[in-house]
Amino acid sequence: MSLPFKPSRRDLLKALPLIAAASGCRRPPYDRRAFAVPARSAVALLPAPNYSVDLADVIFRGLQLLQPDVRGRSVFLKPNVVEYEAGTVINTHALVVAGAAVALRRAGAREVVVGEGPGHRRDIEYLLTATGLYDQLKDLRLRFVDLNHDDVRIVSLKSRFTGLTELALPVELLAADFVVSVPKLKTHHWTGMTASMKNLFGVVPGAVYGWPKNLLHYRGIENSILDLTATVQPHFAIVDAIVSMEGDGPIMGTPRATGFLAMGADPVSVDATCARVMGFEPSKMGYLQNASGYLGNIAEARIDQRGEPLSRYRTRFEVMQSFSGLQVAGGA
Amino acid sequence: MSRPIVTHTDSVATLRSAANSSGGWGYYRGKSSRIEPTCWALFALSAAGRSDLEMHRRFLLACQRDSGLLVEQTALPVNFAFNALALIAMLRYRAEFGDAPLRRLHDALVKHKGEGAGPSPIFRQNNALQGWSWVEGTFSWLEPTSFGLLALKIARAAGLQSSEADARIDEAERLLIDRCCRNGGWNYGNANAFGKDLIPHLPTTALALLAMQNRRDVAEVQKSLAYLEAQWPKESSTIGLGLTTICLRRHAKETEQVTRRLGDHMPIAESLGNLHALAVAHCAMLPPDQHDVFTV
Repeated sequence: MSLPFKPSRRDLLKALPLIAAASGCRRPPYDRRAFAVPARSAVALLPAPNYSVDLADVIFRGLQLLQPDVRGRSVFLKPNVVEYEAGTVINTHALVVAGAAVALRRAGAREVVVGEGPGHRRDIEYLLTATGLYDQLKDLRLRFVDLNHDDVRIVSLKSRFTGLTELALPVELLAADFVVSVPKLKTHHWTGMTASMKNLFGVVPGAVYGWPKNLLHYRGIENSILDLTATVQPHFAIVDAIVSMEGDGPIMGTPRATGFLAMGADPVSVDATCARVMGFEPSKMGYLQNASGYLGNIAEARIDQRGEPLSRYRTRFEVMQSFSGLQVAGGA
Repeated sequence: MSRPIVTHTDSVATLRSAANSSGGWGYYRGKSSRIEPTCWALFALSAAGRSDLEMHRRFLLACQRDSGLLVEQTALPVNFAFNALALIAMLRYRAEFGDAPLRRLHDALVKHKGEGAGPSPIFRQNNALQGWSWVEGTFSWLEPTSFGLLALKIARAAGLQSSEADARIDEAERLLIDRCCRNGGWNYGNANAFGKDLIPHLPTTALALLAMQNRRDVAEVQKSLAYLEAQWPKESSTIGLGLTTICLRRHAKETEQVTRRLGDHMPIAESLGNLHALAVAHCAMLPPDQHDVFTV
């Protein structure tokens, strides 16, 4: 479990200069010229009723719909692997990771590497074997990078919501041509939901900053999501929403069959779409609302839906009481 | 016919050959030298003699800063868990490291405390207790507190005593007891959240039990030891099984079966190039006359 207590007075004090900057001076903690929000973003929803379907085929069809150019590029897949308990749906399913690797190779990627830095259990060998990911890596001859323990390079953050100016990040992630966030769709008891943006917590090296990446919690989880997304700038997202998690996510929640994969090159619009599926209003979620100012689109009118219509999957996830205010009035 | 147990001497040579020219070891083959895997590799090489320790010793000493604490690059935050491990390494090779760097590190570790906090309706625990945090300015977590507690106990047994260190040991023990899961064992952090009990993990339980090895009178230690003995057959990692072996040995428990399972898992760590895991495994397989690395 992540936080010993809710970010409150201490966080507020740390955030005060930023709040002042944002509200008083109306100057956001990033350089607008460094970012270009696309006029429109495409998000594909691909049906996948269970993990037995040919996921490489489903993901390849999504790539064809969205046309990301991975030809000749080194691709880094970043799944969400946190901790393991049998019967739960905490982690991105190993078959989704494998399917993504096969599809991206088929689309022309020069190399596909998988990497993760779990935020809870630091023993990656345990997580790889328990989740079945180790067997997939072996079968597909995929190289794995333990992001918690990789060599690091210090990089400047491209936005400063946390108040931090730089972070040490794993060199293998920084060296990749094309980063793909491959999260599990879950509710989250601190942020409401977790998908492709929150998944980037796993790139922060635990051997440098400790577990559960506690520094980011102290700096504000939503602030950290924004700074990491701005800095890593993932090129693509593939969300495992075949079986999602509702209730007390991201660890203690309950499985919820949702039956699709969400894909897109704009992680903000992918997450906003997933939020709508869950019954949330994206503009009520602090980090998505802030992200819409510089990282991507959240307005439904700016998102081109490909594949299946959103209405096919729109539902209402069980959430903790503290997040009921994020839900769209009247339900799905 | 049962499989032979992988012996310590089988691949210590491999571990030795994986050292970087700096004298340290990376977490993975081909990666730069880091404090944690270097300490574990030094423990694993305990039985191999002390004649060629110089380059490894130099790496750790080069990491020691004016504060007495070790960090690989000055721009990175100090990791207190790995500093506790470095103190254990310096104590293990006290003659080679000398007393001055050891005492500086010891005193710095005694001074550092994880952040405390007030009561919270979310966590049924005593947030005011302060052990060690992973990095400066954050909460006290299970692993750094276990490493810190273990290091100070080993130091105390080696004659480094002070009332400040005793107070830290006392509070860290209380923190571990406070964070023990309902049915024994330890999560990496809290025992509960949002009204739900959290699950214990094997490596964190082994570490905490190692740090509490001289407190077998405590009920939380007894039930956690029972948890560890019941759960290790389900563990599927080299580090988890290695730490379990080291822990059970310190608690005078049978280790042949767990060591055999550890041997079965080492090829996975090998295939991942995980030198940290291999070093923990080799440490777990030290010959009986070298089992005192973590004795408090």
